[in-house]
Amino acid sequence: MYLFQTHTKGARKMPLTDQDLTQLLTLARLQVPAEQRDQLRTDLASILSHMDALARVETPEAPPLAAPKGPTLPTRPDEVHPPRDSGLAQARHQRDGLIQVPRVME
Amino acid sequence: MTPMATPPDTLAAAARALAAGTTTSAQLVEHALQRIAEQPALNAFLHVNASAAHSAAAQSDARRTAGQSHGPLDGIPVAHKDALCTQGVPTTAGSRILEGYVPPYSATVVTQWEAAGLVSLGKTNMDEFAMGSSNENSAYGPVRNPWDLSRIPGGSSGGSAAAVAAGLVLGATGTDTGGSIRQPAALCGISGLKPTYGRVSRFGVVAYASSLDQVGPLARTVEDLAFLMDVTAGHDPRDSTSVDAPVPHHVDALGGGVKGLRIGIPREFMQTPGLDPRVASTVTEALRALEAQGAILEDVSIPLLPLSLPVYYVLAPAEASSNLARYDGVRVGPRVEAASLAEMYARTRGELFGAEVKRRILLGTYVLSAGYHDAYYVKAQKVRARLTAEFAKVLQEVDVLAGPTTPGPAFKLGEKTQDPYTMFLSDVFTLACNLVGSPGLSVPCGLVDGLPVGLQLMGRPMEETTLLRAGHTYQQHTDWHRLRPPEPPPPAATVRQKGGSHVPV
Repeated sequence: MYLFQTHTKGARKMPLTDQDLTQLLTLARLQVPAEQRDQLRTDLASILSHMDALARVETPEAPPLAAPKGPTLPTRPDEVHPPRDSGLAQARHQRDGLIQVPRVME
Repeated sequence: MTPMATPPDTLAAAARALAAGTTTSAQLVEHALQRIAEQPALNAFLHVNASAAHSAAAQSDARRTAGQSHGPLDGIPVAHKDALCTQGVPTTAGSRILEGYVPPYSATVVTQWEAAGLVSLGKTNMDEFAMGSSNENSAYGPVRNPWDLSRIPGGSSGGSAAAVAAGLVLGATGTDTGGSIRQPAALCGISGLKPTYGRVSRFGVVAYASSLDQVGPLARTVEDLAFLMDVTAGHDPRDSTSVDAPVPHHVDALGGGVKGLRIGIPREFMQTPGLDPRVASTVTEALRALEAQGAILEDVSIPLLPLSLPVYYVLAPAEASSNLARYDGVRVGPRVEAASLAEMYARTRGELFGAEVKRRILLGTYVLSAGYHDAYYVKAQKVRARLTAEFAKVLQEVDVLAGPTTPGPAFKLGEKTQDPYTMFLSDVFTLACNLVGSPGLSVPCGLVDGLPVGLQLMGRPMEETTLLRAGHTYQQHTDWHRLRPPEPPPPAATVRQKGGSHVPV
């Protein structure tokens, strides 16, 4: 099951459709003005067409490299730093020592 | 305050003048603030902290008088890229979505520079979230190149590069995810170092692409970079990617020359389509200068080098789409109110992120989505593994790799904004270093059309000192690093009108 049904697995066969862009914007939690959508689709399709060069590289058994240095997961003392109040000071609204955020449950 | 007769124009010269007592930190800071005020057209600074700088300079002078100086850099004016968190000082990463954010803590590098006595004058302009090659993506207007105000300074650390090149400060921090220190350094005619991934702490740095981001210094000379690296490099337990390894003394390692140093020139670099032949010949001439000092030039091949660009522009946006998910108007920064939570997120992000940031978030979302994850993201990681292996293999045969930093000199503002992929090509020579985690250095090596271009040196992980030694040797035998951009015309005389505004006379 692919998110973008107009394409086949592993290769982009068609330009991004407006439906694809809507799906991407939903996933990315972004809103763009209607008049910018066509240009955005054109730009993304153009950039992606250059990325297709990767498909031509043989990578048999090559392990994917996520970072130059693997995570070492060091531990550290479980201490609050910087002081809690300094973090709260940035919040638009706070109550009882917590950041007050918009309602998340309807 | 008595003005300095001849203000020192490198960090090392300032250190010597301070040690000799021929200048004070207060004088250096006053001079720097005056330079900043004289050159508003550069738009290099997003925030200038004059009162804090005056206070820090006074404390530095008092320490020096009392024989308690914090070291050779104590009292020298510098600046920080706005991607580095600074306690009590606004930090926006060039974005409207962080407008008004004042961090409750400082990045480790900021703290290290403060501990060395360096005086921060403020925060420098940058491409939004470090996404850009021209500094045209800043939400606060583009930075201009001090060599030609109609041209870009490079990016994303364009504000830092322009500030150093124009003599506003003597050193600055930058971040380099795909060339963002080296490329603006080259285009502004200064020196810049991207250290090895893990050599410098990234704690407190606004993240763009976490497997690629690195912090490093920009300054006029390689000697200045070495001074700054001596107070910047080292392990930080608060950064899980920080490497716990011995740190050499970078200034002490500058001597020794390049006799016997094997410099490999990847043929793929010099065959890159779009490389200005004048840049190619300038770089070749620079390499001949190193050869004249005893370096051995060798033709080498890294077959996957040309694929750095597609690998980078899959991985970096993928990581960015994840890193930037945290900016939603809930905890910090402005918010665009809406009827539902989902709409509030989308409107806040849609209205407060710039066009390039949105493009890269969408690109990253695409390559990470079901059905494309393996074809793009995992494939790019596999090619990255092969590229890293090719780099390691060739760096067993030679000590250093060399090539151009940029395909051409600084281009005009607006020249490439209509085609995102053409803009990406500005970074074609610098991306590989980030993908494989190696250190990279750019030094000015000539002029094309009266504009500076850079020689790039790349080395084995943790061998910054080899690059600095080669770069320093080059600067000992050439004068390109001594060239300065033209001075701006003196500001027009003004008279104060009733009510406080000024008008030209």
